[in-house]
Formats: sequence, C-alpha cells, structure tokens
Amino acid sequence: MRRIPRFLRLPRSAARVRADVDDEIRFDIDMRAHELTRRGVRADAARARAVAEFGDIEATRRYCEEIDMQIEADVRRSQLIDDARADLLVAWRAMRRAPAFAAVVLLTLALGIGANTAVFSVVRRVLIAPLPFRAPEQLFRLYAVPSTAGADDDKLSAAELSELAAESHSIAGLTVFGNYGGFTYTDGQTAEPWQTVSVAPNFFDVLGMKPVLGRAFMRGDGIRGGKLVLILSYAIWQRVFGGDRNVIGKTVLLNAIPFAVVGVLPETFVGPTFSADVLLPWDFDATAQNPVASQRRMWRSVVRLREGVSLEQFRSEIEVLRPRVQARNPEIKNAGTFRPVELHEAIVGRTGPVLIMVMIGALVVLVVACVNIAGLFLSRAVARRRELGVRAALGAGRGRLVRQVLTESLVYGAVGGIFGVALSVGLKDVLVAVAGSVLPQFGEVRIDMSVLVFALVLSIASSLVFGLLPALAATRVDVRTALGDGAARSASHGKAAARGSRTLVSAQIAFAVVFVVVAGLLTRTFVVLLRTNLGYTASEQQATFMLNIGGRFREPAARSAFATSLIERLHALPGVRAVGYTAVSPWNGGLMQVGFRVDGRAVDANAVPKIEFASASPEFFSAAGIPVRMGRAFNTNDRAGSPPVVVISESVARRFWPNENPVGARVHLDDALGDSTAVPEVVGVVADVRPSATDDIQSTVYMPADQAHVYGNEFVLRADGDARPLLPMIKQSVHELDARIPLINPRTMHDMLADSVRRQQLAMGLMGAFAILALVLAALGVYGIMAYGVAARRREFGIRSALGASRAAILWLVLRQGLLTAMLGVAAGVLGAAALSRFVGSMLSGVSTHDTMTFVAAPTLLAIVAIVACAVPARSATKVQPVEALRLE
Amino acid sequence: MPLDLLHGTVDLLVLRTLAWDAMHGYAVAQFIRARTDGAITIESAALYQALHRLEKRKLVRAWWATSETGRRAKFYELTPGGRKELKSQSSDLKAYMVALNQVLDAK
Repeated sequence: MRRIPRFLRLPRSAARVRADVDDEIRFDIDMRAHELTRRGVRADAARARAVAEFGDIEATRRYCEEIDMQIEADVRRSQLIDDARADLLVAWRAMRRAPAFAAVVLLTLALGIGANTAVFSVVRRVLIAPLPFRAPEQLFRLYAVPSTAGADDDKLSAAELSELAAESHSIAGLTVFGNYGGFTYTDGQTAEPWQTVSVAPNFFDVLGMKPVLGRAFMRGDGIRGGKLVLILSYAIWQRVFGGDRNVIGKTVLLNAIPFAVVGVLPETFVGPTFSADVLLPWDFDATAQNPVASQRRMWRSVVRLREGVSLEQFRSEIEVLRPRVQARNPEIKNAGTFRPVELHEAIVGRTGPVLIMVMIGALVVLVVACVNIAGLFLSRAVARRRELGVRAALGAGRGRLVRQVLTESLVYGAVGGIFGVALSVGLKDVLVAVAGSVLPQFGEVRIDMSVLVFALVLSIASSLVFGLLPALAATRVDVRTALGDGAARSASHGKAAARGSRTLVSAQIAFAVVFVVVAGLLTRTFVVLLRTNLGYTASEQQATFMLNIGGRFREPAARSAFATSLIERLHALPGVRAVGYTAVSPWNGGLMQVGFRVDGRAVDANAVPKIEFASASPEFFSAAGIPVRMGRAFNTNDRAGSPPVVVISESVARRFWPNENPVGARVHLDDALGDSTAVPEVVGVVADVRPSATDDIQSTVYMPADQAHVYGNEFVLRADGDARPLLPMIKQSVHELDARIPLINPRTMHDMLADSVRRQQLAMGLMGAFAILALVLAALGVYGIMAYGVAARRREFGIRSALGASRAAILWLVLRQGLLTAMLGVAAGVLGAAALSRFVGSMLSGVSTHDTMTFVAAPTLLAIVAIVACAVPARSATKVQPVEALRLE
Repeated sequence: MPLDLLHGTVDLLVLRTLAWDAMHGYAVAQFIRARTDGAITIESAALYQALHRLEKRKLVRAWWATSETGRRAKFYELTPGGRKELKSQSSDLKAYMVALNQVLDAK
C-alpha cells in the first residue's frame, strides 16, 4: 500500500483533481467535528466550529486545485519523455537484432532522401530562391518578335531601347548588355581565355545590386578615350587573385591592353542570361546617339518597371510607343514588336521543366521506396504481433502501441536521413551537370540550412508514410488470439495485413511502369537526336578548337597572316585532309542575322527576310562535312580584293529561287560584315545545318572570311583517321607559331556533339536510374510478399502435397495470386503513364508521348520481372515435403 | 495564545512532522499541536496549502489510502529531496534563533 510505482501513476483529469481536493478538505473538517463531538460539543455546533477553525476554505480549495493541476502537467510531461526514451531503446534493440533488415531499409531511405535533397538543393537555387536583385519581380528582358516568321531575337537596337526608356512611364530603369566576347588574359606566365560581357554604366543601379568589393560602374566609365576599367567575377577573383582584397586598382592585361580593376561581383551574382569572367563598361548613351550604330539590333536589355506597374500595363504601353519609335528609325528592317519576358523565366528557360521533372521523379522514387519499406515493416509487424499482444495485455493502450511502432520508424527515418544528406553532397554535383546550361550563371549550389530543413521534413514524412500503416495494422491486436496458441499456428492471422501488402506491391509495380515508360521515351528521344541529320558531320576524324586571333593581333593583315600560316602548319600534320574556320559556327549559335534581298527584286523595306550570316574559309565546308549541292565552295581566289561572292544554304535557295538555279544571281546583305556597298554573286549552294539535334535548320548565307575580314575563331580539321591523337599536336603547332594565343576547347567533333545533347543524355540517365531503382524495388516487393506468403503457408502446402496435389497445381496456386497482384499494378501503371507522359512532352523530340513501342515494351518488362519474382518463391512451395506438415508444429 | 507563524516556518514544521512518519493532513496538525502542548496551532487552510506546495516541489509525495477510521484519506510522506531540504532549512533556522536570542538576551 505504501509506495505506488511511479510508472503506474496515471495523470488525473481536472474533475478528478477537484474531487480529490474537496475530499481532502471534507475529511479534515469531518475529523475535527468528530473529535469535538467526542469532547462533548453538540453535533451541529461542532461542525460549525470545525468549519470556522479551518480558515478560508474557498481560497484553500482554489490554491490546492491550481497547484495540483500543475503537478499533473509535470507528470504528463515526464511520462511522455520516459515513454519516448523507452521506445527509442526498443527501436534501437530491434534494429541491432535484425541488421540485414536495418541495412536494406536504411540504404533505401538514404538513396531516396539523398536524391531528393540533392535535387532540391538545385531546384531551390535555380527555381525557388529569388534572384539576388532588388524587387526582382519588376525586372524583365525585352525580346524582339519579328514581323515575319522566325524565332524571337533577344537583342534590340540602341535607338529603340533608349527612345522607349525615355518615353515610357512604366519603366523605372533600363540597362543593356552585349558584346559577348573572349579576351585573352595574360600575366607573364600563363595565357587564358576570359569571357567578357559589356554592360551599360547603370547596370548595377537598374538590377539593384552592389559589388562585394570596390565600386559599381558609373557614368563616365567606358567612354571613348577614358580609362579602361573592369569588374571581376567572384570566381575569377578567387581563382586568379586568391581573393586578395587589394586587387582593386590593380592592372590586368586583356588582349595585351591594360584594364584597371574597380570592383568584384558578389558570389551570389546571377548573370541576367549570361555568365562572364569579367564585366566591361559600355558607353551606351554614345551608341544610342550614333546614327549608324544605334540602328543595329545588338543589345540585350533588362528593364525595371515602376512599382505598381503591371506587365499588362507595360505591354499596352509598348504597343502605343513602339510604332512611334520605329517610325523615327526606318533603318531598322523587319522591326516587328517587342515582348517583355520575366527575367527569372528568361534565365531559367528550358532548364526549369527538366528540373521539375527530375524533382517529381525523385519524390516518386522516395514514395515507392517508402511503400517498399512499409511492406517490409508490415510483414515484420505481423511477426511481432505476439510481442505487441504481451504489451497490450500489460495495459498498454492502442495509442501507446502505435506510438512505439512509429518511434521505431522515426529512428529509421532519422538515421536514413543523415546518410541521405551525406550522399546528397556527392549527388548534387551530378545534377549540377544536368542543369549545366544555366547553372554557371548561378554560381555554386550548396547544401545549406533550408536544404537541410527539407531533408528533415522529408525524413519525418517518409517515416510517417512507411510507419503509420504497419503501426495501425500491427496494433489491431486481440490479446487473446495474440497470446493464445492459435496465434502461432493460424495461417490466416495476417489476412488484413497481407491484403495491405498486396495493394502496396501493386502500387509499386504501377510506379515502376510509369518510370520505365518515361525513361523509355527519353531514351528513344536520345536515339532520335543522335540520328538526326545535322547537315554537318560530327565524327571522331574531325577536331575542332577555338583561337582568339583578334585578341592577339589588332591589324586585319596580321590576323590574316597568322590564320594562313597556322592552316599551313596544320596541313602538315599527319593525315590531315582539310582545315577550315568560321567566325562562330552554327553549332555555337551563329554569328549574326542579316537582311537578305535578291538584286533586281522589289521588297517591302519593312519585311526584309532575315537569315543567318556566317563567314567561312575555303576549306571550312569540306572540313565540317557540309556537302556542296550546287556550284562551288570558296577557294583561295576569293580574297579581299577579288569579286564579292557568297554561298547560300539549300533552304535559302528553295525560298528565294523555288524553281531556279540561284548560282550566278546577285544579292544584297543588310547589316552584314565586309563591304556594305558590294552586291555579291551567289557561287554555290550547300546543305542546311542545324545548331543541334533539337533545333530547326538555319537558313544561312556564307561570305569568304577574307571578304568579311574575320579570321579564325572556330577551326575545324578533318583527318584520315582518329583525330584525337592530333589534339596535342595542334596545341603544339599553335604554341610554336605564337605562345601568347590560348587554344580553347580542343576536342573532336564527336565529343562536341555529345556535349550538345548532354542535357537530354543526363535527363535520360537520371530517369533511367530512377526506373531501374523503381524496378528493383518493385521486384523486391513482389518477391518479399510472395516469399512471406509461401513461408506462412508451408504447412498447408505440405498437407496439399500429402493429399496428392501435383507440383504444377501447387505452383499455379501460388503463382496465381502473385500474378494477379502484378497484373493489377501493370494495368494501373499503363493508365498512369498514359496520363502523365505529356508532362515530359517538352523533353521529347521526334517521339510521341504515347509512343507505341515504349508503351508495349515497358509493361512487358515489368510483367517479366514480376513473373520471375513470383516464380522463385512459388518453386520453393512445390518443394515442401508432405512430412514437413507434421514436423512444423 | 498560539504563535503567529511565519509562512516558511509552516513548510518547515510540516516537513519535520512528516520526517517522523507518513500521515494525512489532519494527523499532521494534531501532531504539531500535541508536540507543542498546544503552543503552536497551524490553521488547516495554511496546512493544506503548504502540503500541496511541498508536493509540487517534490519535497513530499502523496497518495490516497484508507485511514484509521476506515475513510479514504490523502497521505503524505517525505521524499529524499524533502529530507535534504529539512536538514538545511532547520540548521539555518537554528542558527537564526541563536543569533536572535543573543540580541534579545543582550544586557
């Protein structure tokens, strides 16, 4: 009676507390009254005296009740902590007792959580985190929409932009950038190529950001004849200058020209659709006032709208202002209209949907993994019914049991989450490569606090997903059956649980089908892309590299001489057949667009068709593998002083000379390089090329490099054999000719092409990995449930076999159930895939979202995997000896 | 005339009483009255408030049991913590009493 064990002390309710206090006070008064009566006081007087002697009864009652409620709260709290501690201990012991089970669960979780954390770190940086500018939602890029068919141009002319900014009431600020260039940085020992971008002096003001060191550009920077200044990117500051804070004021040599460093960009800087090693100032006002230069569409712009101005208002204002602006600038041909695009959208572009797809994929893999783990827990929980029954018999309520089982899954979730985060650090780098097309602009992706919070939430959510169902199923125990001898023998004890497991396995198979379909569609796309006719060849026998000749030699004559002697040297290398170059190759985005008019035909000045303009050295076409269809390619006689000539691509010929031979015709090129008064003659027609397999063909006009006065930049070399061994020799040749020109990106054309489809390849690779993971999980799920079912029914099979059932009959008995489960999953998966495949539509090219081959192959694969996974346990069922039925008891 | 007791002194007296044996509230009051020949009487209101206060501070522990008269009563006993508290409180009070006497007896 004396001491009640603490752990049995249950918290009292508020009503109970009140009753207890009343009882205690009444007991005291009754005892006192009783004593007074015994001493001879009359009963009613004794009672009155006892009450009076007690003191303030009401105050005491209130005081005691309040204190007791606090005591109860303390009890409840400490009990919760004690329970949690006990549950954790139980969970830890269970984990240690079944290390294989624990390893499988933890590995699955670590992979799932790791993949998700890694994907999320990239998604957060690119899609969720706001751009590191003030009020980034007010920032827009302005694109030019041509009046004739064709893609939007992201460049406008200085005249259009400055007049629009001056007259608009919506625009708070407009800045421009452009002149993407490659400069050669030299510091005495090394020479390396740096990407440069010119920006207007108000670039920092309009974006609303500051350099991390030094100053921003300001009015006066970049003016002709002024001091040459630049701002370094954070990465260059760290890598080349070791993060030296005294770098401000230092002089660096770019193309042997001294520039003074005035600032360093912040680490978080995101180039508004560019990535650059250094920013140079550009006197945009001077360009806008120059009657010729102001008409060229060569400026990319960012506008900041005034606070409260909506995109709609801005659009309608553009429609009012644009005709006026363009009327004043009739030189701008084919002007079309302007389209504002949110800056974030402009930057993230096509990478966004890929990232979202990968994120969803990763989440679904995690869900499938959780379902798998739930299955494992479920079958184990059924095996633990006896243990749980004992606890129930000892007075643990169902809520208490659920909490205990859930604690165990939370322990798994936590440990799996920790492994997952560790894994994500490595996985993240793989992803950075996938999102590579925009990530350089975003700087480094980190596993930071918010990513860790995501991992934590994910771990807890996963634990609940795979813990709750088994916890509820396992704790629905009837004490008597769990403890009675029926529990050990009954084959039907887990009927509800088994049905639950089968549903889970069906779901897993369904998810696996969806993954395999998506991976299949992406793989088919990839194959289509690799087989696309690009117009040029991209083989192992071709080498390509870039040289910044213009960055080394100022004079065109010197550039020409260098290019000529380099080509001579390269021709002398073993097996080299052709060496050619172009300013910017089609596969690197092309050089520029020009207006194209056929001499002698009347054309509306406002609708001059635009086509791509490229320069080409004589052997460029043969080196790049662009076949000549009609006429001739350039030769060494097409030089600076000789008659002007051009070569056009097939689509240009078809478009302007539908049923004629264009060779011999003369054309006008508006805004092209070279002699602007020339009316060159078409001397040949070559095949159309596409920049990459996912792009449309580009109608192009080529001008001889000598007549366009651009020498070098992108070289292509064709050899008899593998060009890879030539790469070091090429480097050697360039170095011998001039040690101060860095060789940029030397590789074979085949590798170059592989790089261009890397986005698709990595998307395919990732989804393929998800599909394999889902497939393995589904196979494990099917196998697990079947094996468990067979093990639980060994006695039954023994009896059947003793009664004369054939092996085939038993095999079929087992297979039937497993296959039914699998086929349900396959059917659901096909329906799901059909409904979901359109979400990957933007990733596909040349393949329908309902591609028949994929939709037949994927379910077939899953069906085969399911049959194999069923067959193994089913076979073991046929091997049960009749005598085992008796021995098993 | 019973002495008017200081607030903290009630707690100390209750602890001292429970050090003797576990008992219910009424018994505590009786015990103190008997021990001091009626010199010290604790008002029940103050006694019960003290008991609950001490339970909250985990200096005493309480449970319901059947009393000598066969009625359900709430019993209290000292916890190890209570025993420690009693020791330090009573030596403090004794030292204070000595000091007080020296002042009062000063000639």
